[in-house]
Amino acid sequence: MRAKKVLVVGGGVAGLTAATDLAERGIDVDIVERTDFSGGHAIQYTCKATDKCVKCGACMVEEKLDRVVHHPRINMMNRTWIEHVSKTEDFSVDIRKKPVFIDPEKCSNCGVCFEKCPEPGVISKGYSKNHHPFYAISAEKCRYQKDQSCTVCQNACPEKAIDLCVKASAETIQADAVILATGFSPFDPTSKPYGYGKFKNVITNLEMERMLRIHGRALSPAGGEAAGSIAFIQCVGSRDAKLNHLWCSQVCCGSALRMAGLVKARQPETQITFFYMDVQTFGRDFSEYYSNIQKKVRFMRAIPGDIYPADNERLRVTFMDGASSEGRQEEFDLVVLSVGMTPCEDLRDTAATLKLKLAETGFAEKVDDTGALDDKGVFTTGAVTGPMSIPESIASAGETAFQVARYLGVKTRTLHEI
Amino acid sequence: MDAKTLVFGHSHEAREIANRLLQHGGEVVVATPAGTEDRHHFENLGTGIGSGRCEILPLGNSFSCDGSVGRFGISVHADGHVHTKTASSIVIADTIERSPNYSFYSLGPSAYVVSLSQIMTWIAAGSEAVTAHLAGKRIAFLTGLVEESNPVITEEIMRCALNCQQVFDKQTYLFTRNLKVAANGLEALYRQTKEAGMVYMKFAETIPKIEVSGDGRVVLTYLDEVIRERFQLKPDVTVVDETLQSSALSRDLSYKLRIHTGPDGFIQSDNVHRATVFTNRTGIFVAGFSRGIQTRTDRQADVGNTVQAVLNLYQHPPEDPVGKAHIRYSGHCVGCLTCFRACPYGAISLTPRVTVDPLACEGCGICAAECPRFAITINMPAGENISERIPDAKKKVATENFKPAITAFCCSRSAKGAGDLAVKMGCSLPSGLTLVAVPCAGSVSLVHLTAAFKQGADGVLVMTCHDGNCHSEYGNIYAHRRVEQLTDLLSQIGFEPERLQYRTLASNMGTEFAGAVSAFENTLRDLGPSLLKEESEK
Repeated sequence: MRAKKVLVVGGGVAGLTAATDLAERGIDVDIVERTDFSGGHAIQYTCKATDKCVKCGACMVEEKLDRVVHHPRINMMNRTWIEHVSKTEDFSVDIRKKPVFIDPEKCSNCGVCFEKCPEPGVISKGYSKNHHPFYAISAEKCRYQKDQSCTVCQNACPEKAIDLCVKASAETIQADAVILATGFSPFDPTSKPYGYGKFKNVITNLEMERMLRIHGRALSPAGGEAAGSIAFIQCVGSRDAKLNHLWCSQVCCGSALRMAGLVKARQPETQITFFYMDVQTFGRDFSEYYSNIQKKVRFMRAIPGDIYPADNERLRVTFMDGASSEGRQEEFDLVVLSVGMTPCEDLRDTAATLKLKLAETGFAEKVDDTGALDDKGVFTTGAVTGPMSIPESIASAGETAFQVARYLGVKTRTLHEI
Repeated sequence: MDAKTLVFGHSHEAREIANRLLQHGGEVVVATPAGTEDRHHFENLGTGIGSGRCEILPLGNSFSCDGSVGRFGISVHADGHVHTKTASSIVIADTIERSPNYSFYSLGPSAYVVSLSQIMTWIAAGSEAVTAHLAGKRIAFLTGLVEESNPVITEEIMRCALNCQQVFDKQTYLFTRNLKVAANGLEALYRQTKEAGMVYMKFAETIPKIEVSGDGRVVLTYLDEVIRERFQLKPDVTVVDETLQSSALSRDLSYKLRIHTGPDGFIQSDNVHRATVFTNRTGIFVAGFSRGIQTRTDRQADVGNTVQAVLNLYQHPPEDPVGKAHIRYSGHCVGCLTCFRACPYGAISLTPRVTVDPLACEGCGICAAECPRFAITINMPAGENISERIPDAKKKVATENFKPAITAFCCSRSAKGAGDLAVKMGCSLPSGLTLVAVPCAGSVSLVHLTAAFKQGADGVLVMTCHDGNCHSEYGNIYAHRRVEQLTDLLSQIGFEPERLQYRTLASNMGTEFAGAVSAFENTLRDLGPSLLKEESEK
């Protein structure tokens, strides 16, 4: 009899945690991850510690990924997604794989391909020391894939690790249970009157995370110079009745204020304004952090109306000033939109494939095990069920792993026998 | 290791955890504060009690609890007897303590001023209780006006208010600063209460004036910060919020079992490495309200995580002796207790003599580095000890182009990862850099630091986790202190103190790692070769 096997859909922090917890209990795990690099959104986040750790949890994701890549029971597949699922005794899952042009066995992560590629954005870089290969070639953007017109990277690779002729593939895998852990999609703020996509210096909080991760400083994307003034705008796409987004995304106050703290520590001359509805509690040291950050950042209880372009790529933000109850305008070098968490893009299709119900909010329903044992064998965990922080996703995944192990009846040794 | 668990607490989570452990074939002792041990409460454990695998232990007025993973013990003194039980692991999952915040608002309890718990009890009791106690129409809830509120209290208030609006035809108001809706379903509940007619007043710059009028009712005078007008409200009943605190039992246990607490006083230090239900003590787990103000969803998740953690411990006890501390007694250990005080994991016990519990030891090496008698070693295979891995850099002595030899002691949980990432990112690193990965920076002793210089380093770096992120709680603080001590000593003998530096990094800070070592290399270039190296050359 083969060992029990679980398929985890989604390689973010929840998926990675569930996979390790199951593997520790002697269960084999396949993880399918749609993107080039595992670790989800959170692997791109920056450590926000200044002189001390501010408990953002970004390092936890690194730790989870480290355990997954070194675990002999876990098989991680990137650029892969599920297409069809059928269930008899166990699950039979058809998966599709985008071509992986860089052979991980040969690649030495020298980065020559990245330097030589004539088209920006075709080859992307990873974020973690556990991303191997550290580079990925986009199947959609690569010139060779369009018209075979360019083989620069393939020719340049000193290890001969690149083969641009690799084709997409498909296979069927068996699993005894399936965990859906596909997380969230960040709200697309182009529909908001903030000029996102039009003005270079309007970015999302996730883009800010990446900028701080890579450059360590808050820079203006348009000119590359240090941003002298920054506006954080909270609740973009969250707590929004017009969009019928009746949820708080829970992590953005913490993320924005911790980033603000980091920027103030590294670039103390920066003026930061925080536009908000309500400051949500984050972390167990919230009261201390909140009272400190109030001394460094200007808090403005208002959600801005429109953003207009000003000279030198600056941005004119209009908002209602509480103190005078009049409309006001102020200029900033950089505007960071704290975009909310929304149900992940293809959740409707995935849910249909897995015959899962969605909640009214559009997130997946949490498969609950408090009563009877689940008989379907399909579980949901992490932010696919609703907005969640990194520690909450870890807790959620741990609980799910426990339920899945119960479902599988895994008692390699019952406690009586120990 | 016996599959026997001691579960502390009188909460739903404690019962659930006990129940699940029983279902997995374990044995459980549920220790509950005296007076809360009634059978009815523990009904779900019936089968376990019947089979003799589950016991309910009332804690009485005094009890002691000590020991270490695999051999915890509890002694309860009651009626002139001492009841003693043993267990391999401990779970702490008690209820929360609530105290009404009357003093925040300069109010006292009366017919017109009640606590949140009080009104919740009346609503739960039904319409008679509500009619008897809640006279009049208007009910105002106060929360988070002095200290910040939280989603647990906010949800309780919203559910109460919704009930009052819909069932008892009351008009409800909420006065707060920040409305805490960062939990599942709370924003939707907030909209629902608004549709039901609840009025929300939020303050950022001002705080309402709270006074008690002649008839005992509260008068709230406030500025509506949106329309900038002053208002006065005289509710028939004013409900004050409550501060949620760690229970007396939880606090007592944290003291008795040497478990670190967080800034909020709950068991479990505020350290990301304790996620989700772990403590600094191997084999002691903490769940639900014992580890913080948590929503129902979070407390439920704790149940599964705790049971899983306990099962993992029983199925994979940390028996491997490699990497564990070892004490040499004769001629070395003088019983000074430095190690006992320094061990973050409580792995050192004193009976019958100073002993390391190998199951509890996490091998951080803090004790070995602190021991003034060099009596403690970390049990490593030959060639793996830190002292054996310090590079011999004497050969690298510069000729024309001075390339400083840098020895960087890197915590394997943080700075080592950052270094690996820097390499992967293609950052240029000094050619004379050697990384010495250590289990915790707290294991780097003064002897290691001086040896690095003696063996030819032009500069030595100690790179470790940020304050508050050390898996061993304060290994980084010990490391920092040692660097400061040695810097001090070195500068007194005229040696450049800049050659020894301490830096904190997270494992995902590749760019910062490269920046730090390159800046250090530049400093050393300016200083030239180390004099200590030249001495050791001769």
